[in-house]
Amino acid sequence: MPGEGFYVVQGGTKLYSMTLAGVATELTLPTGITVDATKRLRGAMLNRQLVLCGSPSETLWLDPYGTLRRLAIKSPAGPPILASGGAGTLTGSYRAKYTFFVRDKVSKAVVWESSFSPVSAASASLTNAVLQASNIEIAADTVDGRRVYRTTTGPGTSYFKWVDVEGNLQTVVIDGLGDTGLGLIAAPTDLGTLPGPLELVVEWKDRLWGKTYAAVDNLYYTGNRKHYAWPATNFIPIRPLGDDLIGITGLLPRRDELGVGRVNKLWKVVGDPPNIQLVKVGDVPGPVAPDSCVVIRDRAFYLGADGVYVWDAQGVNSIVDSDVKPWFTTDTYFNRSRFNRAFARYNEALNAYELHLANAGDSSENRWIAYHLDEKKWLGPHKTDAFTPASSAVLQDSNGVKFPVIGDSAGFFWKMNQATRSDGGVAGIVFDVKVRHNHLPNLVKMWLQMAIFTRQEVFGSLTITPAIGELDASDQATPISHDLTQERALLRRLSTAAQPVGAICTLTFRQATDDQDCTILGYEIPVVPQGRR
Amino acid sequence: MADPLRVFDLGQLGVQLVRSPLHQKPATEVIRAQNAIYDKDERGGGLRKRGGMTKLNSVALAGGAANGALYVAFADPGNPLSIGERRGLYVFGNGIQEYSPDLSAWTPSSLAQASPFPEPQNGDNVPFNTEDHSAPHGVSLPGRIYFRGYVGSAAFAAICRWNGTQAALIAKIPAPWQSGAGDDGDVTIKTFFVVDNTVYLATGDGDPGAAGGNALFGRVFKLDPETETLTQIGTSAWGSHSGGLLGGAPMALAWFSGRLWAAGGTLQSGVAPRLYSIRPGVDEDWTLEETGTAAHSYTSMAVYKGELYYASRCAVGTASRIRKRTAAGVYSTVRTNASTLVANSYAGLEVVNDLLVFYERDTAGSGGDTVKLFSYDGSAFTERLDVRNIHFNGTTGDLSVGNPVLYDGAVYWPFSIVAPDDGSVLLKSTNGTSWSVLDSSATDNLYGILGVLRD
Repeated sequence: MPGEGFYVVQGGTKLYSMTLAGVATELTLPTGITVDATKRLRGAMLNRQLVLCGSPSETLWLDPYGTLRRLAIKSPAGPPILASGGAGTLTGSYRAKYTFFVRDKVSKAVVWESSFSPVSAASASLTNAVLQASNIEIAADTVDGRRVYRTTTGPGTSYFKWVDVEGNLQTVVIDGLGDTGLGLIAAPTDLGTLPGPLELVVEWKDRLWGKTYAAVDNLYYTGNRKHYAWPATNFIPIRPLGDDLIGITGLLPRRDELGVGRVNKLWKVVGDPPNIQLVKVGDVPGPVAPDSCVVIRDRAFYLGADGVYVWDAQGVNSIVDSDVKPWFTTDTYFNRSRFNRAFARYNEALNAYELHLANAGDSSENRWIAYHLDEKKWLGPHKTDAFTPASSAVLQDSNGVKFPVIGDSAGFFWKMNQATRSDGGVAGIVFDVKVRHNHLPNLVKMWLQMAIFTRQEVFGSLTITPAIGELDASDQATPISHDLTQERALLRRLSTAAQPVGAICTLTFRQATDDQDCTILGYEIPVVPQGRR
Repeated sequence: MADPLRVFDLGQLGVQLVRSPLHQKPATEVIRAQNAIYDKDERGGGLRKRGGMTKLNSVALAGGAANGALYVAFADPGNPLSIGERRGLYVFGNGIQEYSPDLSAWTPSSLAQASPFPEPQNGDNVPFNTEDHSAPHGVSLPGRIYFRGYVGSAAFAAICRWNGTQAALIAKIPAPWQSGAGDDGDVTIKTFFVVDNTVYLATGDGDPGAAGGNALFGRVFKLDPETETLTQIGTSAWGSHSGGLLGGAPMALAWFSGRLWAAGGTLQSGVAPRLYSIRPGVDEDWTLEETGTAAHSYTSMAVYKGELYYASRCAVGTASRIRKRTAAGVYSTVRTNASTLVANSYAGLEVVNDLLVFYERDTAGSGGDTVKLFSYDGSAFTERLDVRNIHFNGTTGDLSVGNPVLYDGAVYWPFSIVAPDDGSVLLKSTNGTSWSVLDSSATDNLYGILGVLRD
């Protein structure tokens, strides 16, 4: 619903809630939990509960009221002890086990339940008695109560909800409820404790799916619509096991398939638990950066070792082969040793997949490149001089409109796609487009007056710097200035005394004034062939 | 002259900046397109400088680098000062006031002009006098408050919903169990309670003075918030009719040991209130758990430290009490009023900051009653505030006690002096020990809190 919502953000070693207006309040971390400032916060929502992982030392759970808890609260360690609690109507022997539970603060529904305690020993055979369960453990973490399940008389082997022990103080409960009064539905069979802190988590088909730091080859998943229930049997080994120390490198939740990547393979999970299958998509470059994985309208994009790939109905295909391969296969443009730190987002306004990479020689993901889905073309590398990017996300405003943000190293989030052409006035956005004309490269040409069309602005100018000659021609010392208040202009001849002729003309369009818009609509350059030299 | 090089893309969404093989025309290779986007403006294509960026948070996160952000698609109802948008408390008296989310300002709520609208005086003072409004007047679920409504000029009890902009009649309470025991106008809603995303409410049916004895009848209903349908809980109604559950009407509800508990009362001198439990959907009818003291009426229940506490009010001659039931089924009295005067009472049991808070009234009568707030930590009681003497000193009207409501980790509690004084205060405590005045008015007559509207 528009107007609702808030953000959960990481600022270094702290977590915050943040209003839609950007007012942050630090969240209280559970005792013993730390946040690693070198890692990024990840999360997934299920059933109005947000699971957070990545940077916290343990997987956390944020309820709708801003309370952070450990997701994996230890289950009760000891079994309850059953005995007669006095006169009643029960006759026979029983077994019991119990869980810890947490209620929603408003609806009072149970929204979290631990795995079971060990099963009690069979009670002595009661005769016209009520049943007492003692040794009900007090949870170390904050819980709202303990839920006790027992068998029917016998003891039977199936457990049914028997009684709740409200609060986290009492250790004994006595209840004379007969078998017919037990819960009609057997005790849940999908409870379980998360085996370790999650590194990755996504929501897919009403379950959470994740990879832990400890068992990197296993894909774990929850019970249906239970963010807290991670049964020990709910995992899928992603082969080849032990192939490397990284294991699963990315999760790609498409409509009917969950992509699970390793560095050199892509698998997919199909079906619905328990009837799921793991199918190899191919021995193809898989994701190398978990945060580069973005699913856009059932197409999964990710950064592979040698480029960006899309996995869709047509299989896995590179989308960089023809145009920008050197970006990913040479060290000229980006610091490839930090590819595993890359992060990406979907920029809906531009319909573009935007990927942050570290500039060559740099140690932060301070550049980004954009694959425009409509044009099927890459633009970039982009940069800002206002801040150093550290993360990215797609958020939603009070009107329900999604917008991308970039988090910076100083603790700010920056909303993209603003109407202004300014990154906050710290420094102008450097619009820097370099185009090379290779037409008939073996033919030396004279480059005549350039006619240019630009979108008309109220003020401002565009600098155009020609370089005429061969591929290594130097930029001309005197650039051309185009008045942006004119939609069309006839500029000077490109060939100069210093560069009278050349086979190739390279043009650099540059506009770096803060908050100055600039649009190049086209240009025309008459050329006069001079012959082959 | 050879053909000129043309790189035009007027109005076609983007310059054709294709890296072409050298033998093709136009051989145009984009080397760099820094901070350029394909312009999707309706006036033309081309390459445009990208849009700027502005800070979402004007103050840097103190912890350091902004290393991740997630959008949470619901607002936090429990922490309005720091998280999403919502409306605050709805407090009613002379009109209905809406407390702002940051608890800083009152504004008149349009709910007062809505139809249906809350009718605070239509029922919860039966059989009590106007001094006690401490039972819940509504119940909150995400995005809505359910309350006892009043529709037009017809005085019948109805369940209504308020979502912040519109009030809607959800269900009229079905006619009383027994023809002649009371007409629609005598059906009231005594209290609300929510657990497991289900609303429970208790009604009082009939005029207590008409039949005497156990003459206040009642029922308990479940309101399913998904379908907003009412279902009676238990086959038996409460009251002195044949087969009825003795002990008056259900006055307070609680959830304990997997059961819904209802505590009744009438304040008739010969009637002892009773405590019942039921497992909705499992049990056919209510189970009697305990019979109280004659001429008492239960007022309030709360689960505190894993035990069920319930308070009573006394009509004549004996002291009201607070009792508890343990998880092991053991009953005991934990506090007895020093007063045995008419209407000495305990009510308003609420848990805040791991303390059980409540009020104690030690006498009654015009201008003579004393209302004190206490806390209990499981072993000791501590008086925290003498409401009458601190906030209404010198007034002569009876002290009316509203209902306490938890909001943002604090408990809010309205009190007012009935005519001729009409003054009122809204008290707040975040710890159960100290109370501050959030608002006071000479004329508002704050009867109670309808609830908290949470998104």
